[in-house]
Amino acid sequence: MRDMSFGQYYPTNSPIHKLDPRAKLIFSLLFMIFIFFAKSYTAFLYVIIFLTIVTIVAKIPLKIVLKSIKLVLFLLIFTGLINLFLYKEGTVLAQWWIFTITDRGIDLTVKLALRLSLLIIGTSILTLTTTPMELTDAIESLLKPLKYIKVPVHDIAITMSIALRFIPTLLEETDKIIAAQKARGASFDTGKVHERVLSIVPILIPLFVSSFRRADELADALDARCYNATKNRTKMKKLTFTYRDLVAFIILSILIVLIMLDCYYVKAPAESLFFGTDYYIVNLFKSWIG
Amino acid sequence: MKAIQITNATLEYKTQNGIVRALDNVSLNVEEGEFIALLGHNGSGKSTLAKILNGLLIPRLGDVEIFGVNTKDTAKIFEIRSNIGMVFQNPDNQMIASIVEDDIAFGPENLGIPREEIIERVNWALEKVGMSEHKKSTPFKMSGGQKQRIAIAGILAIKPRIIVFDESTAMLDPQGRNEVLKVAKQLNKEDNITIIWITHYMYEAVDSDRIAIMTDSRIVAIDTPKEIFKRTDLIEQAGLDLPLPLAIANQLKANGIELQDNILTEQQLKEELCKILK
Repeated sequence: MRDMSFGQYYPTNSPIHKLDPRAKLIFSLLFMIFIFFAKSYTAFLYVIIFLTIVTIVAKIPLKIVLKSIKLVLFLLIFTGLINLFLYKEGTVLAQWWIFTITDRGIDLTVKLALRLSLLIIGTSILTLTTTPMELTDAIESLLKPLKYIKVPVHDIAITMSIALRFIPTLLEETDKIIAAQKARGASFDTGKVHERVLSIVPILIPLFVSSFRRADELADALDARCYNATKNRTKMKKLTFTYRDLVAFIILSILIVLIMLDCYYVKAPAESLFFGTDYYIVNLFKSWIG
Repeated sequence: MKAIQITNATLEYKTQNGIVRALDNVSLNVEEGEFIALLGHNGSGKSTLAKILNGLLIPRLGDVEIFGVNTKDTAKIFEIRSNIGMVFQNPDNQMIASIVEDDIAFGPENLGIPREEIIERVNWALEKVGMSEHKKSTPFKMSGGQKQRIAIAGILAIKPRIIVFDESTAMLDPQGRNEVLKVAKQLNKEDNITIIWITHYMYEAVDSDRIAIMTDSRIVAIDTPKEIFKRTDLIEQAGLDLPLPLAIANQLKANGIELQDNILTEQQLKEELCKILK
């Protein structure tokens, strides 16, 4: 069984892996925000180039990065089809019953699919290069200012850390319970759908009972190890920003500037089908061909 | 100053079947540096006794003092808990982090120890339990004995002067059991840490300084192993089994073979039998 508490972490010794997890978290947030300002194909190209560079530097196989889209493929296709068939503005290319396909509809669909896929790839690079433990530390560190308004930041961090820690333990336990119930003659993969759903109950009940017992023992263990002894808790692992984080930030900033320039500075005529830089590139091509 | 001083501690639990007395007028004195084995059957009150030592439970009557500090003194509870560490039965339920070093650092972090010293303590504790090479790994795939040694390291990092092992070997295989017992004895000898070793395996108690036997919420006997093992009736009454070498020796004696009185380990039995056979 895979160690689930490592999530989808892909260990390589790359500069991206070594970035401060707080920096990575902030960068991912910035990326998520600014990808919504990408409105032209040129801007999407910038993003694709950026992500390709990051993937190469992180030494993650392309296949693994693309796998993350597979999980949301259904959502992608579903929203894509709705957009494609129900968007009514623009020149009509085909029509059947309530469905119309327009040139602007196609444009919108492709951009939506691109935006969603790139968003997911971008964020999965975060989880591929950062362990959940590092992320927990990063979240704790970034939420620190909330301490002043009495948010129990540290307790939240410990809770997350313990939750991660117990995922493999509880999975193992579930396997044992399933085996034990099977040995008593339970069957989990035969019968009608509702029978199969109900057959989960004899797994869940012992699992819950034992979880409560574990929680009780864990509470004693936490107390025995002086949990809450002082408000001035120290940390063994210190997160430090380095020159690496600065370099990464500059590269990300270039991307953001390019996207924003394309969005607000490069203006295409309003009646044109193309947006931003795309308009000029298309015109250039047109004059080229003649 | 006594390491542990329990005077007339009494404590009850409320259960569905009414009030159950878990400790009945228990008194116990432990000197610093002693290795005390606390033996008793399930439900004899051993674990409750462990929990009153670091203030997880407070006795209704009587007092518990750890190096002169009463556990009823809530302001000093963390002073007590940093002096008396506790290793529990299930190693899985004592770990809070997915990485060994993070888990061990948890105790000293709670106490607000400076960063550099925490790193030192983590390395020292791992070395003490012989797990240095596992510093960066995850405990998930380790054996029970290894996990329990990590748990001990987590306690050691607090630098306690007393460690209570509350049936810490009960869930382990024989090899893991020996590993953990070895570490405990080593800590007792090398670092003069007072050990309270709670178990229901008689043979683990054989070379402790003193053995205390608990039956029905009371300490019925406390003495050196030599003296305790003479009182077979008491051990049987407590629902415990004699260590196998002693049981064999007793049977042989009953059948008219003359053996020495204090045979506790296999080695001693072997030597005695060889002597007779010569």
